[in-house]
Amino acid sequence: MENKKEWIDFLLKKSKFELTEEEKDRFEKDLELFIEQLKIMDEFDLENVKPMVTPFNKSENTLRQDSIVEVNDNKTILENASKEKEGYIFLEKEED
Amino acid sequence: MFNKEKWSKIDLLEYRDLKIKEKENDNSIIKGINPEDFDIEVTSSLLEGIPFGIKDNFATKDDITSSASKIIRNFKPNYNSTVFTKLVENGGIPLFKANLDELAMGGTGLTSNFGAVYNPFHEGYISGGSSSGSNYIVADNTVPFSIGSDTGDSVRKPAAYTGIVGFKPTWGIVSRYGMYDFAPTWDTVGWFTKTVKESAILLDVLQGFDPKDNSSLHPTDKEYLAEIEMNDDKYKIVTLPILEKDIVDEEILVDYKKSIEKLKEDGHEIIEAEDIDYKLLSTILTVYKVISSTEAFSCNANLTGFVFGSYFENGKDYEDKITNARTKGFDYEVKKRFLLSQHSRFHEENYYKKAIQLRNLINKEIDRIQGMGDVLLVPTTPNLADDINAFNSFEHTHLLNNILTLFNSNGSPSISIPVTKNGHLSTSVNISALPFNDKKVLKLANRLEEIL
Repeated sequence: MENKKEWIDFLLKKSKFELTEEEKDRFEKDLELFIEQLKIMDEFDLENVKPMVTPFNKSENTLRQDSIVEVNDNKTILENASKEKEGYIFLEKEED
Repeated sequence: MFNKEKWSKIDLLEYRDLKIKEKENDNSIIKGINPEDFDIEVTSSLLEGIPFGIKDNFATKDDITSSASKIIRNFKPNYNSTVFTKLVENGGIPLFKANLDELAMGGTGLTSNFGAVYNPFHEGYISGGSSSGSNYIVADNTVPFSIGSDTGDSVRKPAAYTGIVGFKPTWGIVSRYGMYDFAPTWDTVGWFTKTVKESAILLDVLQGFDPKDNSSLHPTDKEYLAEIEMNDDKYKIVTLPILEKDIVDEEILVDYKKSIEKLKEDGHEIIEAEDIDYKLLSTILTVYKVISSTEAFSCNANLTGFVFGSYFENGKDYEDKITNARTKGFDYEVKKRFLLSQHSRFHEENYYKKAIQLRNLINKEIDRIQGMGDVLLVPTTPNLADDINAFNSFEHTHLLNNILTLFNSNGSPSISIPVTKNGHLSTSVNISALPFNDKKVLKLANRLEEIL
């Protein structure tokens, strides 16, 4: 991470949004703080430690039966789109 | 206990409209709810006629639920969250959608698109977040209870800043269906009440396996209210003297010690845990930041502006439209967390992997400490409610500032109860226990409330 500004632009591209120049300056400081905080993780030997992705090991099998349940229908979902066409959300093309 | 008689004499729709007008400037309420709009059959009278508020990140059918974010400001879910349905089935009357930090990402109450929510007792201090509005409307007696969500401490810490009760049960025993995801392996439904007994009633109403929630688990206990009224149990209570050095405000230390003394006098055994891995547990702030922001980034990847209430922005192509919608649709705090998640992900050190490995070690240690006795008693916060201009404390890496997040990490039940109720100068302690020991937590909290 030699060039912080380039790195922030890379992160923005991955996140699919932009920041104003003022926000970029603010984020640079927030990122510096975060980088400092991350350093504590390097102080632990994690070589044989298994990752944990749930709060505890669940003894229950929470997989459902592979059966069809209608939760939402197309019509109600499409009501949330600003424009629909033939059962799809319709995105208008911007004129150049 | 909920005062059904009092509320039965009040015209709740008039009351709702009056409160919305009265409270326009405190920003605690996003909007009113029409209880008649929901086709939910009432099957029990446990909450009969009791009005409530719900954080605006719980879906209510055909009713805008925006999570205080511009990007879904028009979104009308076509389903009710399970929690909302259960409250209404049990006779509760929904009146208010409560304000929150955008998408539940915030610890202050100051980052909502519907305005900042300050402490109800003093505008110069924070209410805490992200469940800021839910906290406010119980603290100022607008409603006897309200629903929030708790990912890092978003119910329990605000409750401490206003001197009320904030509870989050064991992860998985209350359905998250219809509660917008922030970080699903930490997210828990939580609630604000004035007493522990009221919290127990709500757990009686709300717990239960829900096939619609893939993290839902079968509770192992029931009838919490009936059980906690039998106060005959004597507990082994673990305390952590090492945390005393983290305490910022003297009042917190005095009241923590007072709680311990009262419990000792009541016949409980106090176990002072001296040998704990303070350094490991202190990594919780970093671990939480990495994992929660990564889960949040993933869960909110569907907020493109095209669906969920469409927030169209122009753009030359699909990608450009998404970028423009997300640029205008999210505020800085949310963007910051998303960017930090990408930093953790793309950094050559792969911090996300390290964080989930550390979570394993942290959980083993907190399980060990909670397992030394029946329950663990700690101060809820190191400090009284923060001044709105002094944000420094949110980044304090010392353990006590982030201790509540440990109980999200290992999914354990955790309740904050006030020791001294004094508006924005209130103090609180927190009782937690190993997962599925919600009954012990509620029983001891109820007892402490009685003897204080």
